[in-house]
Amino acid sequence: MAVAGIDEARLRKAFLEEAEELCQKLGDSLLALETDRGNTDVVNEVFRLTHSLKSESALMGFTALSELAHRMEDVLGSVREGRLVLEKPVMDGIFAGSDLIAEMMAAISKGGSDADFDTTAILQELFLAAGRGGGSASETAAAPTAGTPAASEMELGEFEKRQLTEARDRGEALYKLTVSVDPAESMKFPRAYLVFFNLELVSNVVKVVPPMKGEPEEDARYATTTLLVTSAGGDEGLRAAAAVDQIAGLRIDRCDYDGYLASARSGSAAWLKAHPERAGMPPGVAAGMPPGVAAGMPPGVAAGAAGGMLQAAAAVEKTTIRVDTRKLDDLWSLIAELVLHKSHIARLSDDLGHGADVHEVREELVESFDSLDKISSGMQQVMMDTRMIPISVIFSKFPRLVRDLSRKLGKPVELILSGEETEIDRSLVEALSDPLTHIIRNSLDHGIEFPEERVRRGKSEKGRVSVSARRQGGNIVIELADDGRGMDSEQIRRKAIEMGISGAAHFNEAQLLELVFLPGFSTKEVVTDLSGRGVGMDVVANRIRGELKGDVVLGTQPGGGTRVTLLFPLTLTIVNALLVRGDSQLYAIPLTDVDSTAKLLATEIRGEEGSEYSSWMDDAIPVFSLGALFGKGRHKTEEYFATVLRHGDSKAFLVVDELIEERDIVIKPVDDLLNTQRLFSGVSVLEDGRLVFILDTSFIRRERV
Amino acid sequence: MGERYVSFSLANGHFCVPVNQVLQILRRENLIEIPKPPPYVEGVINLRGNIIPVVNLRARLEVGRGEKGEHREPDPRKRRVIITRVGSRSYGLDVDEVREIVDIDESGITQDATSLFGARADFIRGIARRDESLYLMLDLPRVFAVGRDMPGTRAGQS
Repeated sequence: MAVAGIDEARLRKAFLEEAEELCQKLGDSLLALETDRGNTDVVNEVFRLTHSLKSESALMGFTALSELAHRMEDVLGSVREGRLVLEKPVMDGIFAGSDLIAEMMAAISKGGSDADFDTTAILQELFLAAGRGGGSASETAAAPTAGTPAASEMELGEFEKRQLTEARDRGEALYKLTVSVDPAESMKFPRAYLVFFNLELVSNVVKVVPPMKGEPEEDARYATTTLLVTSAGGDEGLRAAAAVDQIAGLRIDRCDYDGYLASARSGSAAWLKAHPERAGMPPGVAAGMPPGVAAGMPPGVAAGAAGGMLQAAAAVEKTTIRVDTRKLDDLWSLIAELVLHKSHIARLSDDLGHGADVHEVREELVESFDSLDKISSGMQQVMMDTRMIPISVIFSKFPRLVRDLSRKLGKPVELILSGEETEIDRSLVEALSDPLTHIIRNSLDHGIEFPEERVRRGKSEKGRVSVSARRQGGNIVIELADDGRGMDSEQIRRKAIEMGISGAAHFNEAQLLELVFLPGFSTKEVVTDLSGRGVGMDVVANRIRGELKGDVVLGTQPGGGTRVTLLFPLTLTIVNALLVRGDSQLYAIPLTDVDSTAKLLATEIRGEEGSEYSSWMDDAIPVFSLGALFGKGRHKTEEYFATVLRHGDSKAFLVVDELIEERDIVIKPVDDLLNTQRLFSGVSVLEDGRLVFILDTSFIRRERV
Repeated sequence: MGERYVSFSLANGHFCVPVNQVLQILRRENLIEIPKPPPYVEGVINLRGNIIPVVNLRARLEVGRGEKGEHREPDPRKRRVIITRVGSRSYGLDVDEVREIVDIDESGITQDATSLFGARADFIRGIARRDESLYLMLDLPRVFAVGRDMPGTRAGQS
């Protein structure tokens, strides 16, 4: 039972990985298809994708999903053959189908089932859409009429079922063959294919799992091949046909047609029916069973087993990532070098024991150390690279978002994406997705005007939203701009004064725009032009400034549009930082937050204690000190070491006791309990065990505003 | 069926936490002091590269602070830090002495701790009587909850 469980868990995982990729590609292709409906290449691609989704999900017994994909495939097939024109209702039906498939996939990956979704409406829509092509309705005669439950088909497709029905009517018997290739055999596919080929000669092969595609990298999949065949000749002929060298095992089960033709609600149960050995039956038992028994497993057993597997699959799902094999190759060559140096050092130590010249050995050691240094930073780089993923994984959702929103709102909008290839840390994907979606939604909801208004203002009828990503030093910069209404900072000022925000009357524009990020600021009470802009912007700001240690800046022009710029560090785990000391404690400041270091004379510090400032370039900027922030106060001397911190547009001096060095540190999260004042973004431990607190320089902005 | 608890003493009381929430017990020498610690934080412990805050339980529970006749300095050799896990986070508890593992039957637990434990009763999940001793069962999530219920960070409370 346990072994069988692992098998299906693996299978399911492999299915999910593959199907998710297919789903994503399907979404992309559909968007491409919408802008270029006549493109036969894209039509073919969509057809191929729906076909693959259909077969993959059928194999796993996700009948509702499979049927839906099948219906989409039918429609695309008609389009491909020129019997149906891709009109809007057809496109909408396919889009809706693709959405539902994505939802089903999400449910399955969380341990749910595709059967929980009602596909009736969409199937009908697709059916009707296909019917519009004229004359094609009869081609898809098997399409369900309104109200027919979706999961009426088993893991076999319609065509395969028809084959079965015909074979049954001809009086042929149904067999399931399980062929296993010697595990030591390195070329499994050719063996499996030979069996398939021989069987084709003597019987009617209805279905082969895995399909006989034979991609070299998938050779291992053919360790076990399952074939469903119908034959009038009894199992001896089949056995002879399957007798191929290097075939380690062959099982022939006679099956009942009803098991494959009848409908079943539980996909896994159906799948298990088709694969009785997976439910933990000892080999050979099933083979000797009378027809019908093997296919008719007690439902309780099957469902129970499937339930357990399902959970196992869900639990392992998130722990794997796809990594480019080239990156692993790089890592491998670095490890090879590392091993080389290890033995070199061992030899040096031997040499020393045999009275070698200490100075010579020392020199060689220094060389070896230099190499090790290079190797370790190389390994670090590769590991970082494996964590990186192109930002297109987020961006690819936007065309669809904009398409749907712009239709819903009646505002035609053109979306321009650039820099999708920019790589970001995997861990940031989730954190970034929502804020970006939110900003785009805002742009469409509140930024972009209705077409009439745009024309009145002398703009093009179609609005424009652009999203770009780029790397800038150790940071990622994402810019989201629209050419909509923009915001009037004077209106923000009025609102701020009305809300009783002190000092608002004298805020400069940057400070006024900063108010938009305040929770609760600028809700619907604000004048229409501003309406909603601020809703949720506090959430965006918190996410970017807090979680991603980055910054978000607004730029706007009344009537000219709004630009939101997000800037955050490339990765959150390792940061190049300036190490400083305050009293006996070490602190680190990420170099991206350090403008420069300077000496500050006591006479240059002005103002009262607690609100001191000094001049920097042409500005007066605040003076903070580690001593005052974390200790008993600043030691009084005539000359101080200071760093100039920057956070966004804000700058401040930070007086420290000692500037130590610049180095890479590994960031560990710091518990809220240690960070009640929100002065740290993390903590790090040096090789000697000393603790380093990593400063979150955003405090200079908080203290100021 | 009872549950197993690690019992420890603090000031004059016996406390306990569920065994399955305890990750490790370390000597107090491992504690690293930090400058200007936030309220109730004694320092941190570097546990295999993770920096874990250690809570000053005396201060948090308001026990053993100069009450007449009860003030007793803990034996420094016996002081320990119990590393506990709450959800996905780990915290250390600075205790006077770790005593033993006790089985406590659910039926032997009194819920209301106010009569015995005054001000900080909300940190006590229940009181278990076993043999001659009373064990105060800590409600760890509340003990470690920062901000919301911490006096000193709550406005208007002295």
